[in-house]
Amino acid sequence: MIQLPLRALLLPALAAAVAVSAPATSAESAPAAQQRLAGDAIEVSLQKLMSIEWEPGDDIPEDVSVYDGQRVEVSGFMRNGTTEGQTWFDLTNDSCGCGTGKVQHFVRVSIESGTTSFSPAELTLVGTFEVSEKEDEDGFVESLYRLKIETLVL
Amino acid sequence: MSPVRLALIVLLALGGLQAASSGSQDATPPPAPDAEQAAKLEKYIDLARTGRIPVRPQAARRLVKLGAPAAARLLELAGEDGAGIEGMGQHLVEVLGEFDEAALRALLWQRVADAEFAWRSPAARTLALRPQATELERFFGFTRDPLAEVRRAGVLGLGTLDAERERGIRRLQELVGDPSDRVRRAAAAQLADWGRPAYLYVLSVELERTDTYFGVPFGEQARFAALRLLKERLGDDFGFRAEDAPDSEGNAAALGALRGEILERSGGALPMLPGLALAGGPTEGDVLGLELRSCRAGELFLRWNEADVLYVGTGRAAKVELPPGTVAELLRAARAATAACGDDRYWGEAGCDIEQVRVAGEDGALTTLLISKGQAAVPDLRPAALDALLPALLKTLPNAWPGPGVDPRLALLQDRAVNALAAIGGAPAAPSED
Repeated sequence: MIQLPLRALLLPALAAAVAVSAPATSAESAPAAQQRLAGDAIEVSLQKLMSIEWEPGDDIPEDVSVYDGQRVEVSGFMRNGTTEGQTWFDLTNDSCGCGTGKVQHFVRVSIESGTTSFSPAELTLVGTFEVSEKEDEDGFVESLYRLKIETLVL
Repeated sequence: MSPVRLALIVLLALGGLQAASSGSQDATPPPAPDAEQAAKLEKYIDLARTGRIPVRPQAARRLVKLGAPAAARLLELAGEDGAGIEGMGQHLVEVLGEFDEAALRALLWQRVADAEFAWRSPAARTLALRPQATELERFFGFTRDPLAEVRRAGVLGLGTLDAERERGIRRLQELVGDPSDRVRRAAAAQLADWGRPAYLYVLSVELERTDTYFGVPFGEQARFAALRLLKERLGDDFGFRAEDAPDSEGNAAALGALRGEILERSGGALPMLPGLALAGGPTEGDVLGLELRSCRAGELFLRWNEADVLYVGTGRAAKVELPPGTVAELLRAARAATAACGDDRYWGEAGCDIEQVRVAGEDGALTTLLISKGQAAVPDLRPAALDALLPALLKTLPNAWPGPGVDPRLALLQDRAVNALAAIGGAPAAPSED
């Protein structure tokens, strides 16, 4: 049996970043612009990211590709079984990690400074979002959505 | 739990399933794979079982593309009695029905009839993808299974088979009142596909859901799922945005237009829905939660509210009034149990069996305790402090025999919770009698 202590409190990354409202880009959809928060992050629904009908090799729907390169805020849960000491983890819509086998069903979060400690609590993260297929050496898609956050405060 | 009740649960688990016939077909075995193909097969099988999580379903999909040689190897791994299927894991089981291999299919039916088989849900789903005419009764049986995903697979199988449609329609009309929203949606969509567009109304009601379970947005999840099914059938989402509140200006107008279309297609008559199929919203004052998800024993979502109410299920949850002071007492015990766990919040390893206890602290902050395991039993998994809490929680659960007038979400609830807890963190002590 593995017992992991909870010592971590995950804080929204880039907390010290200067909040400057960014204008909607010309490529940005109207809904994305509507969802832009008071700061400069766009609130993105993990459910919306998960809901796309997509298989590896398909074109990525504009509904979600519009967030590529944007600063976003997204809420979810660490995938059940996330191990300590990694520089990344998967954010899922449910702490059970059920039904998250498809690559559009999670956001791979990378931590620029620091490592993970598992928490089953809901997390709200802010960072730079990336939308594209990322393949491993065998051509399997490892992730579709990625979020780069600055730090995980322990 | 009494032997009679246990027997009933087991019977329910096997309800309607007929013993699997061998069903093997006489066929020329495929030629042995060459060394390169054999290596590829082993690699994909290994990745589908134990690879990184996003890779597993993709590796399983590649095996399907390899066809007969992959089926032959999987059949070999399954063994003559199918016992090897258990060790294949969810993602391999999920594709076994896609091979044109009658022997594999027969073994799947055999395994899915075993209530202790951990992968009954993925096995049922894959069987439903290519249902055979001779399996009609089995799919009707699926629709009465205790596991929601098996019932949903029953709906999908019946829909694809499209035999005895009138009988199927009658059964699916009953499933519009299923405790599981996934089953209700599947039944409503299939009824629409069978020429009953009025049942799209069921899906439109799902668009109004805003319920959450301690932050998990089940209502929003339901809106996305329902909207996809509606758009597939109406050819339009009428501008409804599932990520927005259903009562936002845009969504209210979209929902009106969408319902107008359903009404027109159904000639002005919409079905009466049971209470559990109506839209639910968030509740204030939930202070204690027990979420159970077991690959063998199903799912339960229980919330104790500070107003001395127990909520059962998602969506428009069933409501059970409790004696005054009950929840305050439970909460004190739960906070003490949480404190006794120290900084620990997680026990076990990722898998299909999960218990989550959520406890609101005095400052309102939520603490989540997660116990998780794979298909194998793990002795002493649940910490002693939570073991001690469970009898008091269980005591508050109704346990009425199923029947007319009994909300299916509450029928044998205590027994089902005991059964699920036993399957996950180990058998709890009996509910206290005082």
